[in-house]
Amino acid sequence: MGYQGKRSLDLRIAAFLGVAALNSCLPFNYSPHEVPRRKSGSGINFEQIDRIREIPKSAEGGFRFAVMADTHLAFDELKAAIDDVNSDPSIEFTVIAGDVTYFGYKKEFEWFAETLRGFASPYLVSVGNHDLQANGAAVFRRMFGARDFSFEHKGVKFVFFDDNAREYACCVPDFEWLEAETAAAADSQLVFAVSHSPPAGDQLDSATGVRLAGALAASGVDLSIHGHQHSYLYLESFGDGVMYLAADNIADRNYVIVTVADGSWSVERVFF
Amino acid sequence: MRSRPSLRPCLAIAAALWLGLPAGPWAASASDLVPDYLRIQFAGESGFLSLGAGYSWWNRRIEAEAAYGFAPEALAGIDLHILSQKNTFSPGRLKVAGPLFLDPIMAGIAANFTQGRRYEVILPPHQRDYYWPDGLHFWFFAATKWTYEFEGASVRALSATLEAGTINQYLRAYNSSESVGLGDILSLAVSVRLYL
Repeated sequence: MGYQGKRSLDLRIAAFLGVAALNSCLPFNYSPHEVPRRKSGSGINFEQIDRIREIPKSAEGGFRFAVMADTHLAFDELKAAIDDVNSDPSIEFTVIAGDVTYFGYKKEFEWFAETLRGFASPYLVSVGNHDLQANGAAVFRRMFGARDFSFEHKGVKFVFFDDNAREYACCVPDFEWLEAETAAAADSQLVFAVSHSPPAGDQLDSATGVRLAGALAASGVDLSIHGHQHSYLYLESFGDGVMYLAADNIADRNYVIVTVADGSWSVERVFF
Repeated sequence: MRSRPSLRPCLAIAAALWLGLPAGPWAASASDLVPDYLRIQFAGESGFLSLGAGYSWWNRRIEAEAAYGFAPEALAGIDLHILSQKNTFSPGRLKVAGPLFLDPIMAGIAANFTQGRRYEVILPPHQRDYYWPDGLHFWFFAATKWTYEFEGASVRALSATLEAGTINQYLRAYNSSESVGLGDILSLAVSVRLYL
């Protein structure tokens, strides 16, 4: 590359840096459909799993976690819910079961992520159908990481997966991955699945919903945790041994606390 | 992704809006179809840069234009292409000094159509109560414009405009939550117009 080429490249770099600097101090936005640039690291969810792994294992072995869902644009109620969780130090982490935006915009994800920083304890986010609108899937991946992931905590295997089947042409939920993850759980472990829509929800056609319910039962899932329907639900929906829990939307000012002890669990609905 | 209807209807609407304005009953001759001005804009939720052409009425107090905007992946994280139809109204103009004029307060609205299969504009009926169409956002703005008039030149005037505005989806967020402030939803745009 000759001198002219180098100067041209320098000018381009200077122009790019100039635009970036202008953008960082003044709100010159190009489109609501922007997505964050790629960053190193695997995303907010995996940073939070690292925090959960640092929680000391008590002699009793039990623990409590909160479940919220469908926060959409209800940032005021989400803040109040976070304050409520923070007031109970026995809650070790919070699961948010999807629909954390309304339009799937980067700005909404940023507002949501900023609000989550109010948590004193770790938090994990599952993806919802609203979060997949427009470029939401790319925004979610770059901010929170993979949509399907799992971790273990005090004898419970948590399996988070994307089941918003109607947002894709194919292959969601990823049944192979789901079955492999649940099969990897030790016999003594409880298995809790987390996804946005219950199998009977309108995000899955009836055949996929039936297949998902069957896969959860065959995989030995004990508790299946959801949101989506904007109402509370806790029952054995299909009579197959799998308990289904759905948290209400946060705008209705309630969430759920799950207490795990001695290889079992209990569910408590909390209004704030 | 869920099934996406064709973008053709929205493109046809945008084209009809643009082409229909100068071809209306006020168009006296074919020369009226030549745009009154060209403009380039930076930001404003319609691309990194957008290039447009438009028509003016009532001593440039009413302007309507169409534009194509783009944002490259290096700046927006993904390549974006946006077609816009924008309308601006200025209630009054001040003569500042000599050929320099100021439109202190203008207001306007633009319809922005993001191009691509994942940005639909017309939703299937069963989704209309559920989702906002990804491919359409309206830009509501206030603006200030400085104009320099040229005497006897082929270019009649040059203007610079600063816009501050937001889009309908962010207004919904602002309306839904006190945690979302005006500073969170406002965006800026800068544009230059060349009047022919």
